[in-house]
Amino acid sequence: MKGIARRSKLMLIFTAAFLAGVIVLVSTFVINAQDWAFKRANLHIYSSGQIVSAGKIFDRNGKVLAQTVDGEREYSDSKTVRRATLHAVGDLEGFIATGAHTTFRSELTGYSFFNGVYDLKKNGAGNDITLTIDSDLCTTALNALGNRKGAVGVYNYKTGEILCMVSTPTYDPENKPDDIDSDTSGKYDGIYLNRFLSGVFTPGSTFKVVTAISAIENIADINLRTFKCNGSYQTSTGEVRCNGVHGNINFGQALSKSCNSAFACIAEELGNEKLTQTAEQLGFNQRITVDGVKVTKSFLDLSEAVSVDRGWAGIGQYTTLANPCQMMTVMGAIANGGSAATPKIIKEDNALSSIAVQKLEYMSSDTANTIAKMMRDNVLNQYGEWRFPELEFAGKTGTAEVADGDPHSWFVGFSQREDLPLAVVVVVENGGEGISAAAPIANKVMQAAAK
Amino acid sequence: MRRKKWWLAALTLITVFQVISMVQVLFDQPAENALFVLDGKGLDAQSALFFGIFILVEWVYFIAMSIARKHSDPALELVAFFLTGIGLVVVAGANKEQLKTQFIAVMLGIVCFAVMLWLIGNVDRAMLMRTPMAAAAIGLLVLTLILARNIQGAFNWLQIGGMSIQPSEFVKVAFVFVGASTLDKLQTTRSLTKYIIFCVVCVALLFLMRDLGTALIFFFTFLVLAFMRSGDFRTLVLVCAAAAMAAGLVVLIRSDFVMERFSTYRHVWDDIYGKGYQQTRVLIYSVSGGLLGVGIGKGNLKDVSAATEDLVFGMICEEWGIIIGILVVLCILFIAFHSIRCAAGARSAFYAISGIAAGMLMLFQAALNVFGVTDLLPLTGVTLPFISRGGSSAICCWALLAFIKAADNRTWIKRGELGATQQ
Amino acid sequence: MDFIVDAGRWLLPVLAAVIVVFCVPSLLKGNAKIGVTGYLVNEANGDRIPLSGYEVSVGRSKVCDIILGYNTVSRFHAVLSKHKSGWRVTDTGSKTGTYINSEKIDKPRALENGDTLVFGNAVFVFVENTPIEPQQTVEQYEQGTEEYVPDGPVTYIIDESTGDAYRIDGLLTCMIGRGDDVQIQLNRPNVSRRHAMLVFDEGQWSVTDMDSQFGTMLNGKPVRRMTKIKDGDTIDICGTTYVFRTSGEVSA
Repeated sequence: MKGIARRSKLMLIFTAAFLAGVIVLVSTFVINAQDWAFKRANLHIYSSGQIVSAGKIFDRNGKVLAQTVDGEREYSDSKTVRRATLHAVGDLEGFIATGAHTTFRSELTGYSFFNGVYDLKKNGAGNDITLTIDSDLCTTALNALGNRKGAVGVYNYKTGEILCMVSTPTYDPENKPDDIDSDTSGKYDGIYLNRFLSGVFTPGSTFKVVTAISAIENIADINLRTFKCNGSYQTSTGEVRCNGVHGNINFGQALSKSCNSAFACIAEELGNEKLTQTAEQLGFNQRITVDGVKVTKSFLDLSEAVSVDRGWAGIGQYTTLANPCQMMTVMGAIANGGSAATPKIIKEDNALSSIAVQKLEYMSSDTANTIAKMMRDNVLNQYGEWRFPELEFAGKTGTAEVADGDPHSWFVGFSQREDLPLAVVVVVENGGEGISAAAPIANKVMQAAAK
Repeated sequence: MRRKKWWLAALTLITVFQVISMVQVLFDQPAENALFVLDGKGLDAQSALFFGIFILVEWVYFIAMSIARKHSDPALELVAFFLTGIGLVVVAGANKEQLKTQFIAVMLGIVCFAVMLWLIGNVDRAMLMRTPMAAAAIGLLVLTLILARNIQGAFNWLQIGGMSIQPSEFVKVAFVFVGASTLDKLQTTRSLTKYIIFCVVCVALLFLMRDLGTALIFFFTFLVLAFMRSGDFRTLVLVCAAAAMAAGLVVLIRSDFVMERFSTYRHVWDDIYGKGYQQTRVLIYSVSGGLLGVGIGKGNLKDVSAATEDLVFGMICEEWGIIIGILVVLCILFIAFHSIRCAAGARSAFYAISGIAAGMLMLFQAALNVFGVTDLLPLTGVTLPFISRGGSSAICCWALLAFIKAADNRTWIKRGELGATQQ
Repeated sequence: MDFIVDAGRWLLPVLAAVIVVFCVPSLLKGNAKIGVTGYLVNEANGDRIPLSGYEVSVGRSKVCDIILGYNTVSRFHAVLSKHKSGWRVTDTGSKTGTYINSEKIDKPRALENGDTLVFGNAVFVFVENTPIEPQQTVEQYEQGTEEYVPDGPVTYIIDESTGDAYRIDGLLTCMIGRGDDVQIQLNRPNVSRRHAMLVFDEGQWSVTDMDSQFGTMLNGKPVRRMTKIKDGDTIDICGTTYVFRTSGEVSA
């Protein structure tokens, strides 16, 4: 029996392998639970590929944006509201990856790995969620954008709540266009993309804010400098053209006149390393999330930039790409003395959430105050206070040259009124001049928000 | 030292467990004419009767064993009854009409367990029965191949009267029986040749029946038995090489038949409405159940074909929760582990070898089933021991359990079979 | 009904876990320990080869339980197996054959206590592990009046109440219980057939409980696993107290 006893011990290998298999099985369950449970084939949650049983979605004023009535998912009654909030609320098929229907499906359906779909089956619905967006403000923004492609975002830099998040083109989820997938004219390009969260665009002159912040932090006597602009800036490897001939200007004037020569010169003095460092400090190449939704990274890579590239990068061209939400957060940080509240989309009505606001530390308060004053001067001295009446507005336009078509039109800014702690970002694709296309939209939305 | 009647506490808990689970599936009849009504739903009296008898049999078995002072260690049967009870309720939750057949099969299985235990209780008698067993096994397989009907692409069902049985399940018992041997027989005839021929015939017949899963189980069990008998790695390597060549030959000749099964392996999500249908549904609904399940009989997986047979692990995870799903699988692991622990002190090499073979067979079958439907292994379509619906399978599992029970020398110490050395 | 489902989904996993916890220790433990039930005493040098378990193979091969390095012994010579009636020997096709009391066997034969077994050139006497007769009273032991002074250590198990001393040195296992295949019989109520076992291993005696219903106490504490014992330790079985006495240090 000695031999048999010894051989039997070898059989323990099989039990060990089996146990390992069970452990692997459990871990695959844990890892993939969310993914698998929300497969379209799960009839607990979906019917004909559409989410049916889920909680209601409200806007900040309690207006219903989506709800389940008799097993059918319904959106807001107003077509404009449906179109304006489409990217925030999301579609039922999950094409809009950052919509609430997809990103907050666990909350909406009440699914959790621990409890499964039990609550959903029992109550017929999961939990309701309230978004921070204001559907009226979104409607205003959509109307202001009109048929142009672009994105508008407004958020409260003290609490982080996103009040307005609109991306165009958009569609009415209750009457989805039939030609949405077959169209080749380009009118539906990126219709499922929320440009505010997931789009990246060449930032153009709005990036000069970043270059200016870098200059304030790294060049001690920047305010005493004068720059000479004769229509372009010569570097050892080429020239950076300017939008005009500005003559002798100081640092503040350089920003308000958006002088490319001056900023190319500043970028040259800063060098690749310091410019990249400041940009990354402000969120470039960094991952930020809005209540767990990943925001596409803004992009700056100067590792192979020669001096002319550096000059172009300093004025927001070269390979630089900026995400509207991230640019908006930078505005919030400037307005809020250097640190901005992290943007969020889920409204929480408890005392804790107002105290424990998560902050992104972007710059020192001295820097923030300096750049805020310069941006305020932009409005007072350059754009004209009449464009943004009664908003105590500060901002920066951007006209980003792109390879094909008119330049992208940008506007980033914020209100300095104590009772109106809002930062705004507007991008209009191929919209032309920043001041003529994007700035009026920013004003309209801010005026509506101020009411 | 253990508490004297710990099994009583365990049995009570098992009964409570079973009653709670059974009540959930019993009330589904129209309220009119029903004996009891709960929440507007009437009691299914017939199913209640079956469950009642099952629990009664459980208690009668353990009390009888206790009175007869025969059961030395009831843990093995407790676990088997626990698993069987879950299986019955799963069947009832999916389709009440199938409960009757399953119930009868389970009862036959328990009888089979007792008969087998008696049959192999005397080693000399058991050794004499091996040749007839081998002949009967091959005869049964040949008969099946001649008479079988094609069900789901496999020719492994035999129609007798109104019942369809799966002979390969019964052959499993014979396979283990024939493979085991006492130490003196092992020493007298050291060659494996005769046994290898028997195995090759069995596996070849199963291949012809296109029962790939069972053929794999047989091959694995053969390796275990052959190793336990001889400890001879060289022969086993040769056998494995020969099997690999044979398998390669089959793939060459009938590539469609084999490759079809393996093409979806690790790619189930690519074809969720086609070849990956069953596995993806198991995964989706397993995680939908969460750790606690959605409630017995309330799942969606039961509408998928073969839910209570091949996919039963997914059904348990969905309806009873992943915790119970994993515990069930661990129970089978513990049974197999027990067979290994018992081998060293078994009353004879016959019991040690047959016990380990039975334990490993169950473990391998459980692995093929559970890891197959969850796409960790290729799907082969075998049943989960004790749980899956299927009369032949239930009887086979209980019969195999007798081998493991026999390997535990405590079974015989208190039965007095070991007797005294001194009169 | 909803309540049953609600409560059930919490209760069932808990119950299932408890049930598994109840049953698993017993499954993991495996079968009972078996003591040595017989010895083969080598005629040539007096070596005692213990027969433990139920089947013991004899031969020249390394995989045999009892390895006999004689050329006249076949690689797989014979098998000794324990049955209800006692030990039995079966010749497994050896060249030189197996003899019991000078009689060649051709089919399995039962062994009697004191039988002479011959495998090739190797000659053994089969000795059953019989109950030990109490030799001396405790007083005699303590007074040191024993006439025979062995070269090895002397080890006794002394029943405190009767003063019976059971000499256990030379044994490998010593079973205590009510059954009739034990070395120290204890016919008292509640005592299990095989209640406790003393095991001699690597020069050291240990005690283990045989899953008895009422347990075994060592120095007042329940024995849960194989526990080493030393001179003067008391073993309590259902009210009967045994004292373990051993003379001098034991060497393996």
